[in-house]
Amino acid sequence: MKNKNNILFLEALIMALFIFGLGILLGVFIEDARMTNIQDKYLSSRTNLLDVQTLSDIIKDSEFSCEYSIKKNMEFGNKIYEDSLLLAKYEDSRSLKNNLLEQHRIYDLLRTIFWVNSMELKERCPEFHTLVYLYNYDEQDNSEKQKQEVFSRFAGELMSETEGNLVLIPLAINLEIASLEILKEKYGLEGTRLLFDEKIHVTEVGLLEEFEEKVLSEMRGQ
Amino acid sequence: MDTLTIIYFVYMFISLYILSFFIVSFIRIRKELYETPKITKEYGVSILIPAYNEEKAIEETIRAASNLDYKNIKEIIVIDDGSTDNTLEIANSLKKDIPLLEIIHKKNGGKAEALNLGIKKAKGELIAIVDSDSFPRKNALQKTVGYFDNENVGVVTVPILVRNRHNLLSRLQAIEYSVIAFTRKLLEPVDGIYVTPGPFAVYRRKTLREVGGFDTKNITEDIEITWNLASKDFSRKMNMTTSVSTISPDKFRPWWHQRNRWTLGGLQTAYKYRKFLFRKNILGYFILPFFILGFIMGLLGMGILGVLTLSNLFKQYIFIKFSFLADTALITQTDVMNITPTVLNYFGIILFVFMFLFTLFVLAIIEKELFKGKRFLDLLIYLVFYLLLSPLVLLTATFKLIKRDLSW
Repeated sequence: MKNKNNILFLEALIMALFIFGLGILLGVFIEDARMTNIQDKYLSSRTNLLDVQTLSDIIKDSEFSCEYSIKKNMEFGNKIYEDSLLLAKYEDSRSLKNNLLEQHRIYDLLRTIFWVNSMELKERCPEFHTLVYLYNYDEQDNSEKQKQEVFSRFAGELMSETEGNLVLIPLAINLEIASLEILKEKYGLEGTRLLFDEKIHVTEVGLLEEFEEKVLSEMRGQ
Repeated sequence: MDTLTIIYFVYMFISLYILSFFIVSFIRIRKELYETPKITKEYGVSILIPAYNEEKAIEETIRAASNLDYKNIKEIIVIDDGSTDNTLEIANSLKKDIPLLEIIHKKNGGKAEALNLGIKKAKGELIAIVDSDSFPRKNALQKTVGYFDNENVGVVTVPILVRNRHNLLSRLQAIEYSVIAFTRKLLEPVDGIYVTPGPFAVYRRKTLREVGGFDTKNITEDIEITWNLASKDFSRKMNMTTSVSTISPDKFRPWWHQRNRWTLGGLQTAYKYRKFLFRKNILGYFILPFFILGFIMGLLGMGILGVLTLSNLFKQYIFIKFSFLADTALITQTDVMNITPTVLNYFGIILFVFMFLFTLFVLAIIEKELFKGKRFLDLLIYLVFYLLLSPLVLLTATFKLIKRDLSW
């Protein structure tokens, strides 16, 4: 390597490192911006949850109609469902940082609290319904992952079909959230499934249509 | 970060490094890109044209060689390598018109053998080798002989451009040849030229004899001789002020065979010179590692792409099966609208844009007409599809090599 022009290799390396470093920094910036976006949404959702919880407490012993409370719970349910879609989208597109796991846990905790709150609301307002979608976070088995995709899509479609009064709560069941563990034990919940009002559940793709009929019939029975 | 992401970043970095190398090299030599050493001595030049079944092109090649604007051409030797068509008859018929023309007829034994025979007969201090389907510009010798004042220069080559451009495949090769020519020049500052292609290269006869001529066992004798010269510290040069046009394959099958031959020959050469790896000179420190890295990246990339494609196909199959069972939508508006690019996607796009601009830049310098009209579409096809064929060729060639099948 006698040629003095061989410094060219070094210059190219410096240039490549510079551009690559800039790219990585930009990447970190983009992922951080997404993280911030999720955190902002979480803060807003937490406030909304406190609001619907307080609302439930207010109507607990009063003559207030369920209508307003259901409306607020539905709004909140839809909001956190949209947040969950956004979070899933960001999780799928993350490359540099794995910092969304904690955010996912904290969101799941929020949704668990909302589920518990919804159970109480359902006792007083029977026209309000919940559809809890339980799945494994970061599922590695390809077949199971596709099953989850279809369950998720089915749940979304069912929610749109019922046009109100059914709130969808997606929850990852393997993120070691103590309160969720208790609920899992109480209702005997394991693996991917859809759970309607803690009464009807489905675990097989082939039984989803049957499940849909049961849910619609149950809701019509109101 | 998972393993796949790390591999992806490594690929990105290496590609970026290569691109940076070319940019830095261009910045360094931009003023001397078109410089040609002055002719201080009219070296005697023997032109060798090895030919095998080239009845369609041989006359034009011989005439192009005889029309070269250089005073001291000693002879034009056509070595007919046992052609079974009319190559020999056509060449013989030109002897009346071209007094310097000599014809040697031999039994078919391959291009390297034919060239070695020509080298033995050659009287010139320099030997210009012209493929029998290639056509040097009139000034090709004028522009190359000046380099040989430097005793260390073993060979000089020029850009090889595609003559036939009547269909997409040949137009894509036209782009490719131009990019190769330009990047070859950009390798010159580090003496990294790794092939002096068959269509046209001028060698110093003494050097050729010193290194033992062309390797008759190698199927890409032009790559092998360049590595042989590099291993013995002979410099390889490239002149950009002239060019040679050649006929490229215009059908997929011959193109595929040609690429397999190039790749197999490259692998054969790398194996022959493996002991030079990380030793001695530019061959060991740059050319050989660069080649091996390209080979590994190509194969690994193909492997990863293959596994990912199969895995995705399997996932899609399961998803479609389940979707039918559950009667859910296969694709929704949200799926399309909610595409969120990963950082890797951004990297890929930026690198693609860099490559696109670099190729545009090269074509703007070398071949302005490739810019015009639908040629722009050719450029996109070249970058998006054509380049992806290289790993496929590499894979086929590797299988052939494993089977010890050196046919193409």
